[in-house]
Parts: sequence; structure tokens; C-alpha cells
Amino acid sequence: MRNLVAETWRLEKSRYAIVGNRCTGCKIYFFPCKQLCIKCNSTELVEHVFNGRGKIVEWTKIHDPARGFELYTPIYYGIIKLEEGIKLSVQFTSIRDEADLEPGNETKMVFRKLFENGKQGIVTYGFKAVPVKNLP
Amino acid sequence: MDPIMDKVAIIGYDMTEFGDLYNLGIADIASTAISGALKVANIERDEIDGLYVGNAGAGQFLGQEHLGSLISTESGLNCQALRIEASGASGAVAMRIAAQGILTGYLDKVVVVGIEKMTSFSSSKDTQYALATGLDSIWEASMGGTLAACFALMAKSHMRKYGTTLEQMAQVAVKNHENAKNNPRAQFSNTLSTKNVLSSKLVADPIRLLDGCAASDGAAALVMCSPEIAESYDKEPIYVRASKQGHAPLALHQRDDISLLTSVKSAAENGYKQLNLSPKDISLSEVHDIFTIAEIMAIEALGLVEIGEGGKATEEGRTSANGDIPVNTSGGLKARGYPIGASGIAQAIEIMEQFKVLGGDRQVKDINWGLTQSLGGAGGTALVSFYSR
Repeated sequence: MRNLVAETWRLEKSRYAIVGNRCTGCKIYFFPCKQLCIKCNSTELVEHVFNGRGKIVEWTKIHDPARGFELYTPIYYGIIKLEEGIKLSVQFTSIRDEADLEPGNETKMVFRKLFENGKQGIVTYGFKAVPVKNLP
Repeated sequence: MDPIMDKVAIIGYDMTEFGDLYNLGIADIASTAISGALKVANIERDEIDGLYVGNAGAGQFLGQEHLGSLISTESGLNCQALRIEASGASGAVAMRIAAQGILTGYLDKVVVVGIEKMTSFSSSKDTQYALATGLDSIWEASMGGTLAACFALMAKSHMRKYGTTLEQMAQVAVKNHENAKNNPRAQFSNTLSTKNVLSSKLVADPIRLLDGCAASDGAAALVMCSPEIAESYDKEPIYVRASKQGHAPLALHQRDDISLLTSVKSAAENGYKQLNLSPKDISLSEVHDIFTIAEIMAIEALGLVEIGEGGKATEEGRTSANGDIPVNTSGGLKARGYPIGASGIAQAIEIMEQFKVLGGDRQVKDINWGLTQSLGGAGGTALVSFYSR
């Protein structure tokens, strides 16, 4: 990700609080928020705050990360499916045992530092997934 | 237009060496391939009325955009030009757009060049970053995702669902290096063993360094025209008979099933339907083996083997140059080399050389239909083209 302050602020609600929305007609959830429903064109969308609970779909361990993620290597990364049915790509954190990353295991989102843009750039924060059994 | 009869001829082709072309700039490399293809076609520069440039990331790798104008100028064509970007499928999509221009009568004689210069970075972390811009940059790359990680997730899902093994994946790399030994155009002709692949360093579990492709520089070019115009240049041209594009959600997490390349499947099925063919009619294929799992998933999505059987077919040697479904006789992206934008065109060149019986020790016998398949990013775009005499 580039070091774009305006983009980081634009994404603040989605990244910090997992705010999406839902079409009142089609009942489809969107994340991040859409301006209109891409099924029915309706602009009648209501905000929805995802509670962050979900299940692991698949995971991997990244040993050769992209620039900006060196500090966190190796990175546990994968796909989770939220209770509402939306799927997201995430980093997993607070992993004590890789067996906890088995598909189907429950996770919850926590607020963490995502990456840095060098010494001068802003720090980007957002959500990461933790196996529910590892939560305090 | 008649979907069965319409065809576009390839009358000239050439490619540069693939590798670290330290002393050459992006326009030098492209110009060399273009000049070679024009020479093969025996056609003058001023006869060309359109140039399409397939390029994935010159803006990322070099800070250079607007490649159409740059390469049209620097290659001496000075004709209208357009850069086409579809990540790893850039070259293949450029060829498809060129064919459309010829079929509609909008253009007569067209040059398509695929080009990439990737080796100017000093760290693989920057390369990973540039490659990750072909993913969803906010919801995958900025979450820590890389291209290798996406294919790692697909590989794990495929292993879980179909029992595909690490050895079967490694065999793709072993086989493609074997094929490359017989291809003078290939970047890597060293022998690889399964053990070499499985003991190379982990990039994103289960993908190891030797499951993937090296960053590379290079260009490949074609001269294309209508069958009528081709008669004056090549008595036995090879024709692009169909070129189909498929789509899947850009982000992996938006897909229903990550163990199947649905974009490839839909593109292939459209092509088979248009040409009234079945996968059994395909004599040889060049597929997008950006990671070893990608070749296994490609041959499944193309229908060359049953879904879930790609690993087994590879293990049994069915996809080797003398197997019943030869795949990547050139050495593939893995061993022929993978300058991203050039790869779709380099695939077409292997099909051309096989049709023209220039394959030497890797020659496939009795060719009726050739097929090429390219992927953009982790499969958000797919391009499948069909070739015949």
C-alpha cells in the first residue's frame, strides 16, 4: 500500500470499526460500504457494524512479505467468513499453536497495527483476526 | 461475423532473451522483439497501422506509464499505439484486442508486443509489493497479502479438497525445466529434482521458492493481419481462431471456491463452444504456471483433466512433452521465463514454433489445435486462445 494519508482517512471507519452497509431491499451486506446496491441500484442502504466474529476458511504462513510488513514476518494470513456471510482477507495474530488455524475454527477481529510506510510515513491500523480460544 | 470461420493470421513473431537484461531499457527490449517479428514477416515498418503493448507494471517497476507512445516511437513504428494492462494476462489480452481490431476491419496489419522489465529492484520485498498491486491493494495487499500467499491459499484448499500433494506440485517445476532444456529460447535449462523444489526456502506455505517464477526482463512480439492480407506474406500462416476472456472477483476472499480457476473455466468453455471443440481436440497447451499449483489448476479448469485430477495427471507424466496432454513444452513461465507482460505472447510463439515443426527435441507430433492460457493476478482475469493451421 502506498503512503496515502487521504486514502487512510477515507478508509478509517472500515478499517477501525469494520463498518459496512446493507441493502434494505436485497438484504445483501457490503464491506466496505457501497454508495448503492450493485444488485438493484437502490440507494436505500443502512450502515452495519460487523461484530467481527467469524470462521477460518483457509490460511497460510508468509515468509517473504511485501515491503512494509518485514516486522511481522512470518505472517499468518488467510481468509475468514464473518457471521453475516461476508468474507475477508486478514492477518491472524496472537497465534500460540498453528493447529488453532484449522478451517472452521472461530475467530474474532481485534484492532492492531497493520503496516508502516518507512520511518517518515504514517502508520496504518486496522483489524486482524485472533482465534477465539486465545482471547483473554 | 461468423464465429467458426473468422480468424486472424500471425505472420511474424520473435522474442528477446528472457533474463536480467541489465544494459537494456524497456523500449530497447520491446524494439528488439518488434524488429525481429517484422523481419520474420518480411514487412516494413510503415505498413503497420497499429501497435498494442501488453505490459503489467512499468509504472511500478520503472515509474514509466504511457508505454504505447514510448514504444511506438522508440521502435520506429510511429503508428497509433495503446498499452493494455491486465496484470499477468496483459500480453494475452493485448493479442485479443489486436485480433478484434483486425476482425472488425478497423486495422489491417498490427504489431502486438508483450514487454516487462522487472529486475531493476534491489530487494524481493519491492518485487512482492509491485506484484501485489495486481491484487486488491486495499483489502488484500495492505492486509499483508502477496501474490504467492494467494496461490498458497489456493494450493492448501486444493490439497485439502482433492488430496493434491507437494510432490505433485514440485513435479510441475521438474517437468517444465526438463522441457526448457530443449528450448533454446528458455531462461533456465538446469535440471531440477523434486528434492530441489521441496528443500528450497518457503515463500508462503506450502509454496517454496522453486515453485514460483523468477523476476525477469524480456519482450515477445507478433505481427497479425487478416487471412486475405496474410497470403502475400506467409503461404502457411497460423491462425488465432478464438480468444476468450474470463472474469472472477479480483479479491480471493470474494470467490465462492478458491480451489477452482472459474475465470479460466468460463473462458475455455466459451472457446470450445464457439469452435465446436472439446478439450480432447487440443494437441498442446501453454498454460500460466506462475506457481506450480497454477498449472495443476489450469489444466483442470481448461477441461484437459477432470477437476481434482491435475496433480495425479502431472505425477503420471501425462502432461510431459511426450505425454497424452503436453503442457508447457516451452518450459512454461517457470523455466522459459516470466517477464509478466511478455508471457502471453511468448506462449503464442511456442505454439507457432510447434505448428511450424521447429520444436526440435520438444516437438509434439500431429498438431491440430494449440491452446494458450494466461492469468491476471490471482485469476481475476483469464485469457484462453485457440490456434490452428
